[in-house]
Amino acid sequence: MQSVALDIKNLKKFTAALLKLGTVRGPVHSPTGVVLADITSQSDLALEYENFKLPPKREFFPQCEEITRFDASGVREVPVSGTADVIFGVRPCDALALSHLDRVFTDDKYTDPYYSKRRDAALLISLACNKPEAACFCTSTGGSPSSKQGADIIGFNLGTVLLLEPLTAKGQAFVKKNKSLFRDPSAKELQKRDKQESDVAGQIPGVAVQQAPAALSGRSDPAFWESIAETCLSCGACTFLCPTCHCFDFSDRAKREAGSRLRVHDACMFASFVREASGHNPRGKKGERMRQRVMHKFSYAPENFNTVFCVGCGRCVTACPSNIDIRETLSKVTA
Amino acid sequence: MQDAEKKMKAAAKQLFDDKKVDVIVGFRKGSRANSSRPYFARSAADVENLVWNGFCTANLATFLPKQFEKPARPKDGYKPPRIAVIAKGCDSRSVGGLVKENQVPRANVIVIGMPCNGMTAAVKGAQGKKDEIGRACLECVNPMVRDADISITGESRKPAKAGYARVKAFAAKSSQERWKAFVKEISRCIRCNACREACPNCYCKVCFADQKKPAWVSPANELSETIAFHMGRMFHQAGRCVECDACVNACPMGIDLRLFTQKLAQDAHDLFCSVPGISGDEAPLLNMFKQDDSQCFITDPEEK
Repeated sequence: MQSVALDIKNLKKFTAALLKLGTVRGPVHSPTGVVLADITSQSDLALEYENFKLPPKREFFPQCEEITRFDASGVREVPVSGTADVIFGVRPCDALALSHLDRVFTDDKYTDPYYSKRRDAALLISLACNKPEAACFCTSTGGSPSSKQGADIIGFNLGTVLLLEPLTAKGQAFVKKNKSLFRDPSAKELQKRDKQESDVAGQIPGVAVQQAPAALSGRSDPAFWESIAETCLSCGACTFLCPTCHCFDFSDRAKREAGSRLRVHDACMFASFVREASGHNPRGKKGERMRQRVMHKFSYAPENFNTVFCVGCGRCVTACPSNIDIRETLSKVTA
Repeated sequence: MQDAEKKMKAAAKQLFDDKKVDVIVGFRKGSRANSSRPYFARSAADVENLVWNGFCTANLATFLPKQFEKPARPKDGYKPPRIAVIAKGCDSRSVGGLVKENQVPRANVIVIGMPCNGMTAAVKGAQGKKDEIGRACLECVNPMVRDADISITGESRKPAKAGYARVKAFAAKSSQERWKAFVKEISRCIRCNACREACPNCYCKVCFADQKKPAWVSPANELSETIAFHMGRMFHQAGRCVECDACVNACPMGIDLRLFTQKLAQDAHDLFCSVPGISGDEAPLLNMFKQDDSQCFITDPEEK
C-alpha cells in the first residue's frame, strides 16, 4: 500500500490521533532503558532505541492473567482486561513473532479468546530497525529489520520524517482517517528508506537457521544435548524473554471458600516443566529440556506452521547467565 | 592475568595427567564481546579452552551440588566424581559453605585458587562492557581464596574496607521509604528464577517456591507473590550469602538484589560476628543458638 510521510514536527498531532483511539502503548524512557509502556502525550515517546528488553507478546499474552473466579455459587469467567488500542514502536522481529503466535492462538478450530481479543483490539505499528544489536540475526529466520508481517503499519524513522506504510485494512483506515497529518513522500525519502533498509540488513550476520529443521531429525543423541545444556542453570530467562515462547501453566489461588484460576507463563527449561503428579519427570535432565526447546522452535513449529519459531531478536543470547548461545547451538546441530 | 591463566592451565593439565580429577569446572571464552562463560573441561585436551580474564564473573560453586547428587539408580561401584573448580575468593567461600552444609564432599573437590582482580559486572548488552568492575568486587573484603588445594599466584585485588555504606544509607530511611524502594525494585521481576539458579546456596531439591502442596507461592508474577518469593529466598540467605552477586549478574532485568542481600550479610556480621565461608568450623549461622545472641532485630528492629 501507498506509504505516507509524517514530518517529525507533526509528531504531537500524530500522537494525539493515536490517543483518540484509546489506550496507547509505546517506547518510553525509564531508569532501566526504553520500555513499552502507556503513553499519555508525545513527550513520553522515545524514538531512538534498539529494542525492548521484554517481548511485546506480553501485551497480548500476559505473564499472568486471571481466567476464572470460583466460589460455592459456581465458576465465572473473568472478562479480558488490559487491552491496548494502539501499540506503537515494536520492532519488526517482534511483530513477526506475533504473527507466529496468531497461528498458535487463533486457528480454524480453536481460538484463544484472551489473546485474540487483545490482538484484535490493538492497532500495531512497528518501527523498522536503524541499528541492529550485536546478537541480532533476524535475516536468517525469515525476517528482516523491516519485515512487514504481523503489524498493521510499519514506520521508518528517517530522522526528520517518519515514513509510514499501511500493511492491513486496519492500518489503511487509520492513515485515511488522519490523512491531514501526512503528505506524500518524496522520491528522495523513499530512496533513503530503501538504502537504510538494505544497509541495516547488511550489518546482520547469518546463522544456520534454515538448515536446522532437517538436521534436527538426526539429533536425538542424549549426549549431544547434555553437552549443549551442561552449564544451563535451568532458569527461565531465555523463554520468558523469547517473543515466540508461549507455554503456559494454570495455577489456582484460593482463600477460604473463593478462589481464582490463573494462566501463568511456563518455561521448558524449568526442572518442574513437565513433572507429573506421580513425581515422574519425562524431561528430568537438562539436556532433555534443551532438546525440547530447540526442537519446538526449529522442528515442531516448521512441521506444524511451516516456519521456525525464532525471529532472531537475540534476547536469549543476551540474557542467558551461562551464555548458552542459540546461534552456536544451531551451528552445532547443523554441523 | 595472562600469566595466571598459563599457570592455571598447567595445573589443570597436570590434574588430568595425574588422573586426579574427572572434570574441571572453569571458564571458556564467551560468545558475546568481552565475556567468559562457565565450562566443564573433561580431558587434558579440553584444558586448552580454559580462560582466565576479567570476565569470569559467574560463581562456579553453583554447579557443584548437582554434580554430587547420587543418581536414582546408581551403577554398581558408584563413586562420587572428583571435581576441580577454578575459584575466586567468593567461589571458594561458597564451596566452604556447601561443604559445611554437607552438599559437597570436601575430599572430592580440588579448589584451584585464582588471584582475583575483580570481575566485570554482568554483560547485559550483547555488546559487552569493558573494565567495569562489578560492585560486589569493588566492595569485596575477601578477594583471597580460602582453603585452596592449588594456589595460582598473581596480582590480586586489595581487600576493600567493610563499609556497607549503601546499606547503611538505605537502613537510615524510614520503614515506609524502604518498603517503597524494595517494592519498586522487585516489581520488575519476571519470576524467571535466574537469581535462584545462579546462587550456590539455592540447592534445595524442591524450592519452597516450586512446592505445590502446600503452594507457598504461586509462579505468577503478581506483586504479592513476587515479594513472597524474594523474601523467602532472602531469609534463607541470612548468614549464608557470600556477596558474590551471582544473583545480581544473572538477573535479566538488572534488579539490584545486592542492596538486600548485603543487608543480610551486614546483619550476620554486625549482630552475630559471622562471615559466611570465613567463619571457620562453626555450624551455619541459622543452625546455631547462643544464649547471648543479639535479639534486637526482633525486639527493636529500628534500633540497632
